[in-house]
Amino acid sequence: MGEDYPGDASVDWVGASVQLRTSSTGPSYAASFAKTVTALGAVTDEPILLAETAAAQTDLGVDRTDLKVAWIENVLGHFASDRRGRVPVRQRRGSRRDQHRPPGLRRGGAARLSRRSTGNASPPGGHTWQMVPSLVTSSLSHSLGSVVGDVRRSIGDNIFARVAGPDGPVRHERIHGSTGPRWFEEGAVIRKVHGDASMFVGGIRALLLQSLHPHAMAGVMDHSGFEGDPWGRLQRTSYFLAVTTFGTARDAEQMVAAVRRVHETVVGKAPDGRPYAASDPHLLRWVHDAELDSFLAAYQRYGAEPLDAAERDAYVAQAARVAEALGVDDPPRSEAELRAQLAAYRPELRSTVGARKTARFLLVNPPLAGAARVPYSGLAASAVALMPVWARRKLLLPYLPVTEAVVVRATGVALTRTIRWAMVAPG
Amino acid sequence: MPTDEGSGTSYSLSSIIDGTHDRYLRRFAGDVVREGLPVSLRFGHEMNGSWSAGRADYNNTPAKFVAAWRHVWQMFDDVGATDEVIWLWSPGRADNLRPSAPTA
Repeated sequence: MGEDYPGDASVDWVGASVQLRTSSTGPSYAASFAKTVTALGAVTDEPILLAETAAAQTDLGVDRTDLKVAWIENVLGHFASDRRGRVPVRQRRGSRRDQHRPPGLRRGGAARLSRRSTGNASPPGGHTWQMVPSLVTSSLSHSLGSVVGDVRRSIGDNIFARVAGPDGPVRHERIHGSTGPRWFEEGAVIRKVHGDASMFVGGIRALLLQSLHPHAMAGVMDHSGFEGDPWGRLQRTSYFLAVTTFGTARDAEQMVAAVRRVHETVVGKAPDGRPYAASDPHLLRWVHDAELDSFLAAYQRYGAEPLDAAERDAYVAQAARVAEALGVDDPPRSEAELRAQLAAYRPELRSTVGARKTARFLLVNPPLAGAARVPYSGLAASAVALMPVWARRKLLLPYLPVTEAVVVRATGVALTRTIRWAMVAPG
Repeated sequence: MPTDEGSGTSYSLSSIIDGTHDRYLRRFAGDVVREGLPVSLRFGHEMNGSWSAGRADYNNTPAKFVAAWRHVWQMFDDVGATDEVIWLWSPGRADNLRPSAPTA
């Protein structure tokens, strides 16, 4: 099978066509999909789609419809819980259980189910095949619709505390209260963007996008906490941005030096066998570019007022100062340079198991209790809606059709008005 | 599944590779760009199957399949259509096939 594989550069998903038939081990996953999934995993790490399936109706002329339901339940259940079949879908309100859907059943049950006839070069066994009923699970629009109402009633206090951390108020005072020269003057575009509540959506989007670089992902998986600790990273990034954007130059320099020291310790070998280092200027630039792209996208959609082209260029140029201090090699100075650099990174990006685990963890399992989970899922959906299509399908993020995107947008606007971005928002 | 058996269809892996169908492919890719909606393309599915693709019987080889796939992909990429396409590589049941080294 491997010799038929055209390579990850021209493949986004791999699909399996597997038929369910009688076997000495019974109507089991092991007898049907398991070996195929294992064989696909030996060829590539790309997501697996259940592309085509059917169940046998008879075996050697004997009616076996009694087995069909068991087959279908067994196979879909196992396929969904297989590590490669897990899809990050949003949690429905009130449900604590993760919802797993087989990859083929997203987007309104887009799985292609086809019929095989006995007459035409059929596999051995002489089966009659019948289509497996299409399983269309609850649509995303339903859960989003119910989110909107709740969001308007919810205050994001829990989310604020989660991002700002327990020291939030103390840090806020130090950042904004200390006197002394600062890197960016009052009224600088970067202060406008980094002080906006849209940064929450931008921050989640940045983590999702960054995870697509296998070396960035390897560093995170090896050196951060459980599942790459996205919440911890969001918190640390928010603090870093607050200090470098609003704090005194002295504090900003100390912060940058501290981060560089930490980066020096983050080295290792990625799953592809190549060494990585967090201080690698090329890798640092990917992280920087992914952040800028995400913060800009979120601000343009949800921010106070969209930036014009000159302001966007100014933002990118101002952010370059911080990036250079951190050791980024040749950071972009304009929006056009940012776009060109991001496009140049595309061939290096991969959908790894680690990236998909992080995405799932970030979107489905926020460490928040009760009502705070509801507005969070709206924020996560907003972040997903801002992701480029190519990045979304690499991470198996749900596709949001146009009508749902409008609902998401309304949710994002409501949320970002409500939630203050960490400790940086004045007042 | 395009075959090189020399009968039946007007296209084959070889004629895809040698560019005979480039106009068709370019027009198809252009339509995808203009439509602007994500589509999934599952070119030559079950290419490893003995019952449908039958590479030995139909004069197909894995190398031809990979070359044809990349040719189609390149045609789409040239007009900027790859961002709209989910490229779905879809072999058949693989239980009894010997996996070989990745070619990525």
